[in-house]
Amino acid sequence: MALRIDRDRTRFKQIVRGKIRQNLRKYITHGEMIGRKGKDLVSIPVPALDVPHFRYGKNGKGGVAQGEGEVGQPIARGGDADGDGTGQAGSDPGQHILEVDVSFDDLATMLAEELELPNIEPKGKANIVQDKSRYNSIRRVGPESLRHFKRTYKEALKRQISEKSYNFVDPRVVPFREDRRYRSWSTIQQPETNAVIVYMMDVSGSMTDEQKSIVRTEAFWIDTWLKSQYDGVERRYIIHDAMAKEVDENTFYHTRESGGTRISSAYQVCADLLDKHFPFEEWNIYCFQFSDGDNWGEDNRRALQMLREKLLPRCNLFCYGQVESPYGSGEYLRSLAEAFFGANHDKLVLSDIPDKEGIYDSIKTFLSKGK
Amino acid sequence: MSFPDQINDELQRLRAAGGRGTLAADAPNGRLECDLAGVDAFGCSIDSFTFHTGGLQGATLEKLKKIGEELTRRVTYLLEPIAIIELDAEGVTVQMRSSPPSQEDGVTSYYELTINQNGLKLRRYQSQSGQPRQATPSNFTHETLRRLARDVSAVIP
Repeated sequence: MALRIDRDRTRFKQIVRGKIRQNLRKYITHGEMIGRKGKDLVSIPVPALDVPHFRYGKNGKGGVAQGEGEVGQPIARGGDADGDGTGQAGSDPGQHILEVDVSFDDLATMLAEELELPNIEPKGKANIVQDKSRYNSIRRVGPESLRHFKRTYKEALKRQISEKSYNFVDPRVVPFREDRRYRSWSTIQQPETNAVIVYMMDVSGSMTDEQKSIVRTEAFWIDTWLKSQYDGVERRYIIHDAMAKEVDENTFYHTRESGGTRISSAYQVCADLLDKHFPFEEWNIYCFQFSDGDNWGEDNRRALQMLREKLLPRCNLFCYGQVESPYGSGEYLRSLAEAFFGANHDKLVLSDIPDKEGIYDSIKTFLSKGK
Repeated sequence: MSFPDQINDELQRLRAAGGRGTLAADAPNGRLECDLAGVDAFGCSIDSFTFHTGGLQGATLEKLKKIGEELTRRVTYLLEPIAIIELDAEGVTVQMRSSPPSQEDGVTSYYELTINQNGLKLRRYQSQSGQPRQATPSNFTHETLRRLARDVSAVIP
C-alpha cells in the first residue's frame, strides 16, 4: 500500500508538471531553461504555485451567544471591515519563485504532449545490434575479482552442515576451493538505434546575436526531444560564412564572422562529415540548418544541387530554419520552396522564424514529421 | 567640365525629357551611371547608383574593405548610416548596408551598397515580414546626389 507521503509527492509532481506545461510556450520562447541546464536535470522557475492553506477569519472579534437583547439590535458585528488604507509597507519577504528540477525525459514528454509530437520511427537499416554483458548467473570457476562472497559462504556452510563439521558453539566457516562461486555474465544482443544531429549555422556578418539566441533556444529543444527518442545521440556543429568548418558547441553559439554567406560551403562540410563518420545505413541522420537566408545570389544553385544530391538522400530529416534578419532580406527559404515544391521531398522541412515567438511553431513544424 | 557640373547638366537634361532615363557623368577615375525614375527642381528618384572604375581591377578584399570603411566615415548624410555587413573573399566583394535599417509600419528599408573590382553600386530596398524584398527608388536632393558622387569618386583610387 502506498504511503500517504508518496501520494502527496505524486500529487505535488502532477501540480508542478501542470504548471510547467501551462507555461511551456513561455519557456520555449524565452529560453529561460537553457542557462539552468545540468547534466540530467534542468531547473525550472515555477512562479505562484499555490499550496492550500487555512486562512483565519474574524471570529475572534465577537459572535453570537445567548442572552438579553432588544428587537433590532445588531449582533456579532465583525471588526473594522473598511480601513482608510494608511499604514506602512510590510517588511516580510515577498513570495519567491520556486525552482523545480525536471529531468530531460520529463521535459521531452511535456514537449511532446504540448506540441502533439509523434514518436520518431527510426530508419529500419539503422538498427544496430550491440552485444551487452549482464552479470546474471553464477559459476564454479572464474576470476577471483568476480568471486561471490555470499554464495561462497553459503556453499561452505551447507557443506559443513552436511559433513557435520559445523560447530554451533564455534561457528567458523572455512570455504574450500569447490565451495567458491563466481559471478558470471551472459551476453545479450540489444538493438540500439543511433542518431546524429548536425547543426549548421550561418555566422556571417548579417547574423546578429539576437538571431543566434533564437537558434540556441531552438537547438536546446530539438536536442531534448531527440535525446528522449534515441539512446546515443551524437551532435556535431558546423558554422559557415563564405567558408565552413566543424566546431565545438561553445564556438557554435558564440562565433560571429564578417564573411559573406555561402550556404554550399556548410553543405560540403556536412556531406564530408557524414561520409567519414556516419554511414547512412547505420545512423539516423538529422540536419538542422539555420540562416538568415541572405545567401550570395550565385551560390543558391550550387547549394540546392548539393542538398538534392548529397544530403537529402542520406538524412531522415533535413530542417531549414530561416531566422529573420533585421533587413528581412533572406530569400533562401523561398528558393528552397521553389526548388523542391511538388517534388517528393518529405524529408525536407522548412520553417520561417520571424522572432522569438516563432520558435514554438518552428519546433512543431520540424519535429511533427515523426521521422 | 567638372564632375559635379556634368551631374547638374544631366539632371537638367533628364528633367526636360520627363524625368526618366540614365544619368551619366565622367569622373577622373571612373564613370557614374544612375537610373533615374524621376527628377524635379530640387531632387531626384534613383533606382540605382553605379560607379564604374578600372581603378579597382585586381584590388584585394582588404583594399575594398578600407574603401568601405572610408565610405562609412564620409557618407553620413543619407537616411541611415551605412556600414560593412559582409565581406565575400570568394567573389572579392564588400557588402554594406544601412545600419540600422529604418523600420516604419512593419516595413524595413535600407540602402545596400556593394563594392567589387568593377566599381560600386548602391540601391535601396524595402521588405515586409514574409515577403521578398523589393528594390525601391532612393530619393536625393541634387546637392546630396552630387555630394555622394564626389565622395564615392574620392575614395576610389
